[in-house]
Amino acid sequence: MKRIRIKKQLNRSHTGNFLVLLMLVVVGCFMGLPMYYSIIQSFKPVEERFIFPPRFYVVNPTGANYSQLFTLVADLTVPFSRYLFNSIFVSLVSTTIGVLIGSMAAYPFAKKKFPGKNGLWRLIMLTLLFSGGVTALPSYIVKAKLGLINTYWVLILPSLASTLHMFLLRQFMLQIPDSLLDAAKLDGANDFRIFYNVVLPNVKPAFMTVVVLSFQSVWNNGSSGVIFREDLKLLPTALSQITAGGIARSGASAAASVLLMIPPIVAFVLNQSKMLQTMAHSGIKD
Amino acid sequence: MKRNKRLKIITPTDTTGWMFVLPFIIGFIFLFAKPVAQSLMYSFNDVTVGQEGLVFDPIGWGNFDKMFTGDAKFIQALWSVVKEAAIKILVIMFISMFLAILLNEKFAGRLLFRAIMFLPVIFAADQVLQVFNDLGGRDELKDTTNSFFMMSGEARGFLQEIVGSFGPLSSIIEKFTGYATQLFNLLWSAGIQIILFIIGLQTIPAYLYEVAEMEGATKWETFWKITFPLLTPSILLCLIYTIIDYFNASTNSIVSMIDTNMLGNFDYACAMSWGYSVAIFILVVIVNAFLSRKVISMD
Repeated sequence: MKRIRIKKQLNRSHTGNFLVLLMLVVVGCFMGLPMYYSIIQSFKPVEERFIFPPRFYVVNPTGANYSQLFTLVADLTVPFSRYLFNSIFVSLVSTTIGVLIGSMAAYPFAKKKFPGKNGLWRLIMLTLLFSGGVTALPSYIVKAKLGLINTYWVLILPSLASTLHMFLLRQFMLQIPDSLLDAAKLDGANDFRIFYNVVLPNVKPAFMTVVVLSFQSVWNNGSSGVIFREDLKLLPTALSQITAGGIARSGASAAASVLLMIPPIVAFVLNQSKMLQTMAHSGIKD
Repeated sequence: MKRNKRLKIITPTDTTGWMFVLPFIIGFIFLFAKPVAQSLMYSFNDVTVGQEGLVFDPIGWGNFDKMFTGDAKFIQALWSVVKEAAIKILVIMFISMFLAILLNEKFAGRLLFRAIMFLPVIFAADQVLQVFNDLGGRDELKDTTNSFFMMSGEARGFLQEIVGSFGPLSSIIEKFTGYATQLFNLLWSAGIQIILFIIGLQTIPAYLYEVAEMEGATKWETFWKITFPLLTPSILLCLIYTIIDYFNASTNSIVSMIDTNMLGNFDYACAMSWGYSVAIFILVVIVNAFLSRKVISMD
């Protein structure tokens, strides 16, 4: 009796596994398609790139698009390394400070009581729902009045108070049991210590996800419209300037968009083990 | 006296909370709240560009009157967006929860599949899809993927030829290609939700599953008795996130309506944006009030 049951279970799990894998492959194809396509596109020679319907393979792969991009880059008045530095500097600074500020703000909204908390939270939620296009003009005026235009600050400051990231962190902090915080408090930890040693480790996967999200959004954000000094422009803006030139430079543009994908991938690979770590639910005994 | 002190430990009502929130609030006021408040001011004025910058001419509720009574398009668009959203948001929720549960199982190649599912999160979707946009010369995600999957007449003709042999089934298969396009869009908007669900699944303590296994519970029972109830906080979080994300997407017909009114009709665009945001806000509040009572927490 027992043996039959085990056999049955094994069978079921085999077909089940196959179906699961099949489904994941299908979904994975959908997800991977745009990235695969843009990589393929960057290796196509001119005459293949504009075939319609688009092809998912390349007949005569060529590195010409990349070498065109590199020669274009070599001819710049501002050295390429400057753009790269700008982008890396701005992304790292805004991610670090932004995530810190966001998680610090999320902690009291999740776990503390202070005067005006609920009203403030509703206000923040309301602006979260506000469509970005309309605030573009007023926020430009604010930035101009604060004298931020044409400085690094105009790129860094707006990403420091990300409501969305704060909201995500707050929701995860809500799930931390109060008893854990009370225990730390009884042991004499002050608020900063509780935040740093108890709250943050408990929301580490969410925290790391927010780090990747925030890096990605800053990295992909161009500097057009707020930076007019050539030596302060960010890499995506600079690359789109270089590669803007119609069909003649569309190959270099395809190569540039592939190269721009690399840093977010690196950020993800470096963080993924922590993002998907199983959270230890230790420290509490009921 | 003693009782008071105890209460204080459990629910500290001091102002240290403000210390933590303050840096965020300063940034929030200048870069979010102020522009949003200004747009509210604009929406009660007739804004024109004069010689010394913007000229304001107060018109009271004029813009809102126009929106809700004069402009039939707005209400119509709002209603159709909400109707469409209801279905799509549910599908996104279902897909992301399902995929998260699959990706939480242990199997060979799990890391690869996880990485692929996170692509929409790693890249801004529009960045990658820019390459697609170059093809059709359009800037809407929906259109480009449409042209992408529908391909040219040839490919479709070929497909129809095969399909035609199935007779009455052909219309179903035709629909199916439409669904493929839809699925593509929905999957690309489910990236973050998948992560949020995986994180949620991992907060469920392993010992609960061990106990369930020892008691002889089937996988089905384990799902409904352990996984699902303990996933309710994540469900609420994802639902609110999806609502916000969906209603702010640039493919949304109201958002594009607001964007087209931005030039020349700025005050009206501000008013529409406010009307729209308040409508979604009410929706989120209702969802939150309705579901947060059903959320089960670990304590």
